[in-house]
Amino acid sequence: MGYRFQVDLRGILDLLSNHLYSSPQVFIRELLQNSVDAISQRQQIDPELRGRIEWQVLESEDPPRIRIRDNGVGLTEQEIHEFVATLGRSGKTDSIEARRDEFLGQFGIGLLSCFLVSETIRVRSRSAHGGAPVVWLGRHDGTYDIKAEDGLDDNTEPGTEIELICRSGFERFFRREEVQRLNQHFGELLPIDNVILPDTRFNGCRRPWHHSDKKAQLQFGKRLFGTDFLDCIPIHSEELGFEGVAFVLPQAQSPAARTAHRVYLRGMLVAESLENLLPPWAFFVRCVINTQRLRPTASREAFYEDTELEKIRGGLGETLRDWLLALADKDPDRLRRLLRVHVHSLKALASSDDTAFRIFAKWLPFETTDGMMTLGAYCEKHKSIRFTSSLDSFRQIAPIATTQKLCVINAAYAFELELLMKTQKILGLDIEQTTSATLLVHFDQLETDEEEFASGFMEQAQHVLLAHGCEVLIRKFLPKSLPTFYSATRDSERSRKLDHTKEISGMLWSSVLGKLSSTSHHERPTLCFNYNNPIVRRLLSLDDEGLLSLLIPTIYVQALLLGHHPLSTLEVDLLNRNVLDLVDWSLESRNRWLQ
Amino acid sequence: MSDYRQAIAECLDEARRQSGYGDFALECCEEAVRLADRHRDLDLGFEARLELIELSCFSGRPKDMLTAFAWCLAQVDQHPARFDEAHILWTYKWAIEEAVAFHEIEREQIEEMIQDLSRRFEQVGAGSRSEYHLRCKVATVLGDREAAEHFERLWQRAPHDWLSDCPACDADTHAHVLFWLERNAEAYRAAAPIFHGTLRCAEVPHRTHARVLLPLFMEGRFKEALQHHRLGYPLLQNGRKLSARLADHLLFLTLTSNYDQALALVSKHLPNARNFGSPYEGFIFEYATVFLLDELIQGGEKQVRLCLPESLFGQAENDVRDVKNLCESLRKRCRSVASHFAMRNSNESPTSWMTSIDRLHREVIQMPISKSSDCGSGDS
Repeated sequence: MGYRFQVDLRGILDLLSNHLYSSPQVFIRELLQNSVDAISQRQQIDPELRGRIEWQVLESEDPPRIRIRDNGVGLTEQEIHEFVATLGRSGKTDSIEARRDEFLGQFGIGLLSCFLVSETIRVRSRSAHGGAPVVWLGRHDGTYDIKAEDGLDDNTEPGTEIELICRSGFERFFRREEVQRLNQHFGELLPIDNVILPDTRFNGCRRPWHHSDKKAQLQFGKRLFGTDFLDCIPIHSEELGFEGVAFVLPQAQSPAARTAHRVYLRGMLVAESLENLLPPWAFFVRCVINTQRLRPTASREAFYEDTELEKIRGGLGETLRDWLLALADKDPDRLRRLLRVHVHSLKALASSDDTAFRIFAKWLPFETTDGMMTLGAYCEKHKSIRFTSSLDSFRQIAPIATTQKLCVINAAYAFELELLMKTQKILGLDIEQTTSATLLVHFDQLETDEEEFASGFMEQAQHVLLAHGCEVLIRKFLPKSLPTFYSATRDSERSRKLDHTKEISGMLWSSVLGKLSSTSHHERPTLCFNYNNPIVRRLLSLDDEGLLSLLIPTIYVQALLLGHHPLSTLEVDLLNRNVLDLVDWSLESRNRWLQ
Repeated sequence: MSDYRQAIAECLDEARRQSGYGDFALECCEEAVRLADRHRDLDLGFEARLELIELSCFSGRPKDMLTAFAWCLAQVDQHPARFDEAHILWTYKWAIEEAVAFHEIEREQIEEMIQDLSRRFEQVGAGSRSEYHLRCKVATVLGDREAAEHFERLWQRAPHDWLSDCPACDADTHAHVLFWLERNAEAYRAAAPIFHGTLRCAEVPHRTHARVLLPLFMEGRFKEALQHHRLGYPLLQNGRKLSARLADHLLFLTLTSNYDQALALVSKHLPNARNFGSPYEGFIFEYATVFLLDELIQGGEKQVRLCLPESLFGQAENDVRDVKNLCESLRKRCRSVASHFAMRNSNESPTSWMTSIDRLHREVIQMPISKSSDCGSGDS
């Protein structure tokens, strides 16, 4: 024989209150939603019906009570047994797929949320399909009574009245002002007459985005989000079933910032802070939208990430993009103002969209070795684009690039590299990555006699620095004051780090890193001596092998320090030893000179 | 002295502020490590590297991740009172997963690493679930069916503990292993809570959508597969990791004859797979590219437009490349990598995987994916 599961209502309530809903206040939304759905169902029989919801807050009674009455489809006794008193079964279950657009609820747990704040729930309902009114009394301990009233002749209108009796400790939800606040919060946009007796009405609220007055829309934005927004953008798609407004944030946003949006489902607030509503580039706005089709999760505080959400995201992205493109055409000044604050968003859009790139590219600012510059200004001045792809590399080469009269763009920030790639693809400009290694190419070669003069020194330098895995070179470059230029690519830096780590690791990991090290391409860093530098010149003519073998590694380690490269234990030891040797050597020389 | 501390904090903040796991975030983090190392500040070096481990792992830079991890492990072992081992135990699992994807790392080294992890986990009172989970995953890369089956059983029975993977990753890996073992019905069941939206994390459902593409396709459930492609690819497309999962999308686009989208996907992801990923992930993606190019060759294509860096793939006028040449050079490379893995694994698993991909040519169908709903192309 089969048995039925027993369900502990208290346990379920604990589950709902602690794990499903974020706050007990949702009971107001659940009540509103049941009423809205009941009215929709009745309107299918009677399309002329004007839906109405009434609230009565009896805050001075002991314990306080709340009543909500609607003129919806109502319930028969059988339906009450089936839907109200059976967990997880919704009156709308059979029709979810077919008529999802018409109902907000679908999980059959709505009324249960009332037990979060109420000991006892009393439902009095009369079905539009006929029959006597039925009264159901449900208690927090999981028991309920039901009885039909003798009222077949009663002419009361079909509909449902629910009365909640306050649980101790939840009195705040039974205050009129709180009920009013929550009705406004969840239901101010519901297209239904909703009244808190005697005289607070939320019905017929004009959707704020229907105001043609921009000021009114911005005020609405301020009321919702507490922010003075920079601008607002109307958003609407009949095809995808959404409408609303996007508010332009007053401060710059980091691309990592997760902007939260407010989403209503057929007028009912579902998500106060939905993060994945817009495409990733559109982080400069906060939206309020009302949609017809998204599928809410069981808690109705978020939506499923499904194809509907994906379509709406695409549609919203397109609307925002078209608005920006139109702005470029009709009101470029307003676009520039927006650009000043939200350049990252515009860069993100332009990097992923060719049309947007063509229109915005010229206005997009970049950091260059000649200061901040728009891409348009850069392209006017230079036939090809030089860039570095890392901040570190930019800092390393900036002083030298300037003296070499090379203007280099720092494309280290998000989306910039993609934008430069597009510059090549769409505008046909050559682009070239500048690294400390490519910069070496711009340094002047030595004349033959100069080469000869330097050859002895270079041979020794090569020999000494081989032990440090470093190549040597000699060139002429500016500024003269710089004796050397240490050129390391990111890969060679990473290999260095891997080798340093191998030195300090235990046996197992040292052998693992050893294997990985063998997979590296072993690109070596280069130390380039500056022939223009007076000290280097003197070194070239120094004919003292012993002293050179002390000075060359010291200069090498100094170049590492100047380039902000961390030193290995070996290099620190070398620096310490050499500096002390030099001190010793200079003291010795002084003594000799004094004698 | 406090200046550099401030600078390190700023670098790390900047790295955390960046969206996703891009190069810039990684550089900020590397800069923080560099500053700490320059000042020989072990504590900040440790802190910055913890960040770097995560960033490099999620941005598909396994070698950098392993270097940073090994440094932290060395500090923990050298200064047990100063550095808390618990900080790095979680990432030890990632480190082993990444290491296995390098054929240079020998089987004995992998075994030693797993034993080391197991010993450390045991010392802090964690159970064996993570070890079994890891061994199971490792077995799929090593092509060891027997071990995968054995550890799948143990893993599923072992109790959860504080070092076990999150439920979403757990379900995703389970689905992966079950698909690998060709137990598809069980795999779909394992993935179901992910697709219902109950389980999710930083990489799930991203990976899971990709995993079901080929099984669904092979079962003739084309529309469902398309749905997973449309939902899954946008989640992966801006990431740099998971080349093997991107390969699933690439195979799907080729199998449905959506060659333009497939080529756009190759342009976008092949350089990264080649340049930074592990040899294993790169190999999977490159062979999926070979599959596409073979298909184009069979269709009579002689040239193909692919925007690839010349430093890695040779010169090409206006990005136009000879399909046959490119295909053959990739095939040759894949064969060489596969033979290295075969030698390391002591079996033919990578080569037989290539054969199984070759067999898919006869399964190709026409199922155009409209541009508007297209996920393969980055441009509008």
